Amino acid sequence: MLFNSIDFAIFFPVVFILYWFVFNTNLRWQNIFILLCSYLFYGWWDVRFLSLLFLSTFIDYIIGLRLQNTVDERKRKWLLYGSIFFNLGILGIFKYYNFFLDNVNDLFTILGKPLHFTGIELVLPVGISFYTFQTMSYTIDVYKRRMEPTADLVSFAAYVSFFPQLVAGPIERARHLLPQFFVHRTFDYALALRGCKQILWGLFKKVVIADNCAVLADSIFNHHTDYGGSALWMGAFFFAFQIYGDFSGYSDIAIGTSRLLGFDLMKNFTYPYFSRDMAEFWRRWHISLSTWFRDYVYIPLGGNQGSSFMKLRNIFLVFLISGFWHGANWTFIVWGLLNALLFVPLLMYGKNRQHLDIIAFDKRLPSFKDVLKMGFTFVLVTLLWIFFRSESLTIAIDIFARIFSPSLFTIPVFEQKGLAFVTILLVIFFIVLEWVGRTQSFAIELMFATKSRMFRWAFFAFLICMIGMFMQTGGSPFIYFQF
Amino acid sequence: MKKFLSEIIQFAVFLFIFYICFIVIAGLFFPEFLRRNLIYTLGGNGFTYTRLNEAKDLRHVDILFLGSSRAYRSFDTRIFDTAGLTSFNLGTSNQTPIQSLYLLEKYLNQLKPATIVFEVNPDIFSNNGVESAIDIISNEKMNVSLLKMAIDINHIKVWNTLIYSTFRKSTGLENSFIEGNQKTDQKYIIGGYVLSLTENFDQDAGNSYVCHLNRKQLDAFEKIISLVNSANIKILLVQSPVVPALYNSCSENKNFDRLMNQSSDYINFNRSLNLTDTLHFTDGQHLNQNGVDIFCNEILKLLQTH
Repeated sequence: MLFNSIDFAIFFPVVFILYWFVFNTNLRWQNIFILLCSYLFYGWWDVRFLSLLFLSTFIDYIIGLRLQNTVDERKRKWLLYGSIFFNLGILGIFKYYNFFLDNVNDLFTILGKPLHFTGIELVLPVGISFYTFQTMSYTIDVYKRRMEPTADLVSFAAYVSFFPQLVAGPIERARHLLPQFFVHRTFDYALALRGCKQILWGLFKKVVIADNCAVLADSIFNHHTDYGGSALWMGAFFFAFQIYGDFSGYSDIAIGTSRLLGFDLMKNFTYPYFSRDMAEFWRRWHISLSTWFRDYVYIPLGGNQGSSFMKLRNIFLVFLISGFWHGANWTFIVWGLLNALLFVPLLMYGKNRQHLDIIAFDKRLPSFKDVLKMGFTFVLVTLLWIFFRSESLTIAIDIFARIFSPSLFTIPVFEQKGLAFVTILLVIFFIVLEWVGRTQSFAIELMFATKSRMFRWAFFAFLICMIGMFMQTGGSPFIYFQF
Repeated sequence: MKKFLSEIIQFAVFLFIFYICFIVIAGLFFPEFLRRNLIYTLGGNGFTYTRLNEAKDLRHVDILFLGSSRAYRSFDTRIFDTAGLTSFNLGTSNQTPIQSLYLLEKYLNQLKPATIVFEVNPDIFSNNGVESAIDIISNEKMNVSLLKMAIDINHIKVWNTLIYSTFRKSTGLENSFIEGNQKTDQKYIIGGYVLSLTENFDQDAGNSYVCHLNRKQLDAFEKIISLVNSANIKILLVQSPVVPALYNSCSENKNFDRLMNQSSDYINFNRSLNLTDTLHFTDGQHLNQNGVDIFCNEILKLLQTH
């Protein structure tokens, strides 16, 4: 069930009404109802994959309890390994098995002893990368004694499968989300209102910005050999806004939906394209994943402590794993490594934390220096997206070669110029709103808050009109569902 | 909660009015590129406005033709007239079964045809019906059935067109509209047929299908069959010929033939008529007048044997 579908437009209001009017009597009923809705939501795609979700939930639930009752540190360690082995195991089979096999075949072919291992046809269960990381965070935190395990299976299962964030995050930490299932939720008017606004903003980002950019990016990337450097650069530009609108739009809808049910999810994006360097970008982009890797990989590896070699190793490992998490393709691995390459100099010169503030916080416009920094960072990020978007390394390298050629300085020639023109106008409108609202948790959170109710309503209605007039009617799933 | 629900309801009412005003203003003043999901095609392709106006005053015909451009550009009513059969071609641009059903429900009692010849093909059954709905809504007087059709299709472009068209029709903005009977290489003939004035074969136009039969269209088709059967009217399902390359590009041909054969008398002329691309077609899926003459005479023979 997609957030931008008729199915969800019917599903969620029904859930909302039943949740607050029927199942509101006590905490247990609230959690049981959320659990059932979550399983219905997930089973809507493919009911078979519910079994994986059950299994993942049950195994981590049992391991969590066993960790609490086990004193022997060696046994506790083995229990943790068991959880990690299971979770990464199912992820490995469904997501990486064929990739691994293909590479083994290729390697032996290069060595002159070709092997012919044949892959297995597997459908990647939607959201598997997200919920396995979420359950692992629980087990690791219980192992590290950062939290007590829960004996309440319903609450734990509801935490793992919580439908607003089940298939594409934010990847919640157990310490943050699980306790919310132990408190009876009461309706909060202000929270619900913010939720509605955030859903609207997320929907705008997805169906107006991302989907329109997707049409253009797809038409350019899918026939990249037909285009010169400037058109390919435009393709990368459109993809940059496609992926941002798509993924942050999904996150906004997820967070807004959760708020309507009385939950508070973590932020996943804070205006990443206003970043002044790569370190700031990574603090603002897919925050729930970046902080997951920081907490459960980078810091356990030693973080920025130790020798320069260790620091470098830790950074490269984290970015490598992060790239690989996105998909079983060398393009993602190279994308991760290139990000590491751009990050390392900042770390080495101690400049990775120089931009912790909000850009031009008390000003209307950024300084010229900040504009240059933002522009430079955006160009770097956009160039790296080429690896992320391309189907193979060969294609990505070819696109780079075409971009960095004299044709970069020609007028871009591509189909759908009319759509491109309108989309650029929409992107400018979007950037302006994001800039104005950059101090808020999402751009329109407090926009026109001091104006009259009629004025605010007119603004929200105008955004809905924009959706009605400019949404891509073909409809497309969220990019991150494939991860 | 009470306050929240009350606010939501009030905002919904506000939004309803605001949205209608926005669509009207966009339709009247926005340049075309800024009204992407608002398409208004009064007097657009296929002479739908003229055809529906003509149908309004018509009473009783022997044959009623239905279907897409493959119907209104293939069934030449003049040929049937010379054979002593009165006929009317109610084909419209990209007409899918959802629109055929709408038109039948509206015109069946008025036209009381003895026979309906319904042009069917897997391409049109794979269509979502948006283009045709926009065509009919733009060219038809507003009525409740159009709203029903919009609900059935449930597409933002159809809703926007319905709002804007209702505004234009109800304010009399279209009262002075007159549609000419000739557009570039097409000419409207009384009786609903559209004559192709070009003799050249356009090789590049329409050379492949994406066939994936749409459930909604199949449901509408079933309703058409039961509506016609309940009115005791004969219905002949016909698949008009297209160029072989186009026909063979569809993966649903066998399945489609089986479905049609189960529903009523059905002839697929792609299997029974041998035509040549350059001699009998103007493009991949439309016949030229030579092709139309051959095709209509075949239909006549069929009707006579029926």
